[in-house]
Order: sequence, then C-alpha cells, then structure tokens
Amino acid sequence: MKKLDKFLDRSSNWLNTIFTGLIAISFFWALQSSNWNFKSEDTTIVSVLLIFGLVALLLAAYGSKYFAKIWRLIFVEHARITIAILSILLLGYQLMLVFGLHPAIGFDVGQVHTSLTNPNTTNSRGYFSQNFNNVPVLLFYHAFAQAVHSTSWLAFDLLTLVLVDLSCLFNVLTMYLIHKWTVKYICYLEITWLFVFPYILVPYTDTLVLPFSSFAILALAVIIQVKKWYIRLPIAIVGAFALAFSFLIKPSSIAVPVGIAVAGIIYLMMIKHDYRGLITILISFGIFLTSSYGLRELSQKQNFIQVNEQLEIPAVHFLSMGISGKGGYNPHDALMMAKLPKKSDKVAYSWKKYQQRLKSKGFFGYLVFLFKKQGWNTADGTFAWLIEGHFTSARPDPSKPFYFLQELLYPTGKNLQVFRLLAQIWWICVLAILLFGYRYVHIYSMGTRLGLVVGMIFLLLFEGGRSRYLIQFLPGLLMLASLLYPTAKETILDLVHAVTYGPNDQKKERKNA
Amino acid sequence: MLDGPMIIMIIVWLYALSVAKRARFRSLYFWIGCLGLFFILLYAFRTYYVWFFSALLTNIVGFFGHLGNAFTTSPVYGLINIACRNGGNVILHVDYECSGVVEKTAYIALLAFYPLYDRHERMAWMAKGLILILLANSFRLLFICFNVYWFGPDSMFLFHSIIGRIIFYLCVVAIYYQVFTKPQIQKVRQDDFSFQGK
Repeated sequence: MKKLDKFLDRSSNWLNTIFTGLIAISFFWALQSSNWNFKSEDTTIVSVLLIFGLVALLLAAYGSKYFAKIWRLIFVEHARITIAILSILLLGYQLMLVFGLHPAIGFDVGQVHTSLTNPNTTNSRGYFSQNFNNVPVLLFYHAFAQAVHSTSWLAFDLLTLVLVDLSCLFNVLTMYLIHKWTVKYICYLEITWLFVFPYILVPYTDTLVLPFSSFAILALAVIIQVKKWYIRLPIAIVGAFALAFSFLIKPSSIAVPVGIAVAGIIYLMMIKHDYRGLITILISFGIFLTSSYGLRELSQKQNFIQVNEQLEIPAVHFLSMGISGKGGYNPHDALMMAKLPKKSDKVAYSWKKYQQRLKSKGFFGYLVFLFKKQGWNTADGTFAWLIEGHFTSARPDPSKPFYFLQELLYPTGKNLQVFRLLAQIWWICVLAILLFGYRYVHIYSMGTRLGLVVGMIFLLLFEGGRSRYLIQFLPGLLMLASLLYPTAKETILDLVHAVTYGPNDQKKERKNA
Repeated sequence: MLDGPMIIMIIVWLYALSVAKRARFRSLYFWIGCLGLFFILLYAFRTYYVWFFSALLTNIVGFFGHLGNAFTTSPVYGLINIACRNGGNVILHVDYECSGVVEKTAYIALLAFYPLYDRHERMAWMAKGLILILLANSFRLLFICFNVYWFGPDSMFLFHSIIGRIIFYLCVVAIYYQVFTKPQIQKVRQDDFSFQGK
C-alpha cells in the first residue's frame, strides 16, 4: 500500500507540473493575443469609455481606500443578492442576444441546419457521409425541430441558450456538493463568462454537449459525496446515459468526466474505503459502454438521411491536419478526402501526409510547433468567434432591435474589438487563476486537471488550431478555477508583496532603523 | 501588445525588483523599478498611446479650433489642417512624439516607485498629473495652431520647435516641482534631517 501511495503522490506531482506547464504556455500566448490591440478605426465612444473605465477601475482598485470596502460589501458580504441581480441581468442580456440577433451561421453549423429541411440533397448526403460523426447532432436537432415545429435559427438559438444555462446550473450544483465555499466563485465565473459568450447563437456540438458533460460530472460528485444509495444510484444511471450522449456528439468532451471518475475511484478505494460507491461507479461505467454502443447503432440505423459510411473520413485525417499549418482545418486535405473514394485510400493518403509533415519538422521543430500550437488552441478568449470560414455574413442593421449588440458581435460591427478585449480580459483572469493556483491539491482538482491535460493533448495532436474546441472543456475548466481561486489569490498577493513596498514593509524598516 | 521577449524581460525585471527589495537596496530598487516600468509601459502600450492620445489630443485641440474657426481636424488620423489667415496651408500630424507619451510614461514610472507617497496619494497624484500633462500639451498645440494661423506657415518653425517646446517644458517642470521636489523638501524639514545620520 505504501508503494501505491508513493506512486500516486508522484504521479499527482507530475500531473500538476504538466498541467501548470500547459496553462503557462497558454497564458504566455494569451498575453500576446491580437484581441488586446486597438486600431484607430476602432475609436468609438464605446471603446473610449471602456478604456477610461478600465483605467479608472484599476487606479481605484489600487489606490482608493473606499474601493476595497465597497467591493467587499457588494461581492462578498451581499454575494447572494449580487449574484441574483447579476443572473437576472444576464438572462435579459441573453434573451436580447437571441431575439435580437439569431444570425444565419455558416461552416458546419450551416450545413447541419440546411440538412434539417433538405436532408437528401447531394450536398447534404456527401457532407454527412464524410462527416458521419455529425449525424447524431443532426438527428437530435431533427427531433427538436419536429417537437417545436420550427427549423428557424431563433428556435435553435433558444435551445442552445437553455442548454448552456442548464450546464451552468449543473456546475453550480456540483460545486455545492463538493465545497460550499466555492459556490460564489463558480457563480461569478459563470456569469462573467456568459456575458462574453456569444456562442449561444451557434447551435452546434460545442454547446450541445455542455449540459451532458456537466451532468456527468454532477453525477460523479453525487456518487462520491452522497451516501444514500437511493439518491446516488438513479443519478449515476442518468449520468452514465448523459456521458454516453456526450460521447456520441463529441467524443473528446468526456475527457473531464472520465478524469474525475479516475480520481474518484482512487479516492473511494484508498481514502474513504467506500466500496459501494466504487461499485456504483463501475455499474455506471458499464451502462455508459452499453448505451454509447446502443446509441451508435441507433444513429447508424436511422433513415432520416441516406449516408454512405464507406466515405467516412478516418481519424488519421484529423491527425494529419493537426500537424499542418496552424494545426487547424486544411482545405487541401479535406478536398483530397472528398476525391479519394475508398476508405483505405484515405487512410493511406493521410498517414503518408502525416509522416511527411512529421519528418519535415524534425524532433525539435515538432516541439516548437507544439509550443506554438498550444497558443493557437487556447490563447483566444473569444473562443474563435468569427474565425471559422464563412462564420456569418450578417451585417449590423440600424433599423433592427438591439442594434448595439450587432455592432458588438458582427464581423463588420464597429465595436467588435470591444467585445474581443472584454472576452480576452475574462480569459486571462481564468488562465491566471489556473496558473497561480498550482499549490491547491484536492481529489477533484487532480481529476479535473487529468481530464484537461488529456483534452489539451488531444487538441495538440489532432485538429485544433482555434480555441472553439475548448468550449467543450469549459465546465471542468470553470469548476477547477473556482476551486483554485483562493490559493491563486494568495500566490498572486505573495508575488506582489515580493516586488513592492507596502505599508508593512515601511513599518518594518523604521523598526530596524 | 506584448511579445515573447518582452514577457521574458518583464519576468526578469520582477525578479530583479524582488532581489533589490530583499537586499534592502532602496536606491537600486528605485532605479530598476522606474527605468524598467518606463520601457515596459512605453513598449507594451505603444499601439494604445499612438491611437488613443493622438486621437484625444486632436479632439481637444479640434474643439477649440472649430470654435475659433481657425483649423479643422481629423482625429482618426491625428491630422490638424490649418488654413492660415494670410493664405497658405499647414497640416500637422500628431504622432508618437507630439502626443506627449514619453513625458506621461516617465511621470508614471517615476511616481510609481517614488518612496515618498503611500499608494492612495500616489494614485491621486497619478490621475492629477496625467490630466495636467495632457492639458499642458493641449495648450502647447493650441498655442502653435493659433499662432501659425495668425502669422502664416513661415512661423511654423519658431512656434513649433522653440516657443511651443519652452511652454510645454515649463508646464511639466512646474508639475514635477509640485509632485516630487516640494513635498520632498517639506518632508526633510519635518523629519529633523541631518547629514551625519543618527
């Protein structure tokens, strides 16, 4: 047993080092993001007021005697009221966003949406034959469209809004179960996140998986924290189904729940000796395996759209794209996947390309590439808003309601840079918490770190290149940030004290003199 | 905003500061601190300065110019177009040097590490000083623009390069005296200072 303890200690240290290293690289690149830069064209009354406001806020936070008191009064002592007010404001903002904007979205999202009304055009069949992994999301949206008798963007945006907010609620419940003191942190983190998260306008797999993976994490927390079997068993079963669904829609999204499950098994076995809990986890794992197999079978037997599974793009294609250019989408490779009819040819072509690219980079070249790719994968706080090809062609229209939101989010909007700056500020804060909270070690934090490391390595190896793929890991990321916040704050204050003279230092010096 | 080498430089700078603090080298701490902060601020916010201060300055000057009907401005490009009274046209471009960025940054850097103030006073002086320097610079530019309008394009060199600069530096010296020199002298008087030490 002692050997096992030592092994676990060591592996936990290693895991923490790898995680902190990866986050440090992200932090390094996030500081250099183009989201920080304003140009003279971006000079609007909003951007000027924003910059003035930010500078004033910083000066007040550092220099004012009353600021800290007021801050504490509002955000700490009356946290419940503040959170309630902010949540209502947030919901209003989200509804404005959805009802005012709901633009037509391009790229894969547009393809899925078009196929809902015309599933059997050559385009749709070709697309879903190649990208068979997107058939489940099409079926889900089809079922939803049937239920509400609408295929409008508005309906899907509303669905996405509900799903994302539901995911946040699950996260808050999870943190309530794990540590009550983290609830206010997770609430603030999620509320500020949703204010800079326009992806509720993009009904796609990234946002669709959020409530399912969040619920899976919640179920794990219930299994670990709650003793009563009649509570934990049903929730474990539903959680296993949710995880299977999440796996079906976006396989990589299960990284964090699985990471927490691994940590949970170790915790239940070694520390709590709760073998019933252990069995519950194993049962739910079994349910997850069988149900994900069943769901895959179901999606293969569907008759909504005719697909030719022989045309499906192999996984190695994403591996080979992940090492080309910026590690993201490669149009030439994608075209070749369409041109080559046989699956074996596609595999052979992608494998050959992968090896060629790896050889041309060399060992150190590949390491440098990975260092940069971590930045491309994670540095952008807008989660690659408008980055994807043909993202949206919507333009701000002064006659439409909520015109100011259109100016904030559309490609030709005057205040687009303001949104980017705000999103980047939020993101750098989250990264700072994750980076400086490295001293906090706890069973959940280690599990989440494990899941996030696996997720980030997955994005490094396979197609990545833009931070949209991070959205699926956000529940885990935010929960981890809320756990690490107090430790991170302490570390940052220690660092600040190390380089500045505070009032205490002056007193000490006087004493010494 | 930042780039790789600059981030590494910032880390090195912070480390040097912590060493100077631990070793209780107050003067070295001050020099490392204010020189480092000066270069970091100048480099990191270069796009903001050029964009923001030129636009702000051009806007302030343009406001008075429109009032006096003497010149027109284009804040986005930082241009001031003076149609002189006696004929002739002068276009001024408010650039990095003209927008008073270097003076403002030097002021911030000096004040941030000046050991006389606590942080509340420091922030108050920072806000006041920045506004005063901005006003001094606007006054200089207005002075140049109205005089060039009045005396024609040939007087540009005299007003821009000589008198304008003298006016600005006099203003800045006055501000520096108020913020750094005067309180220092007062403090020395209060503290019963002697050259022999205790």
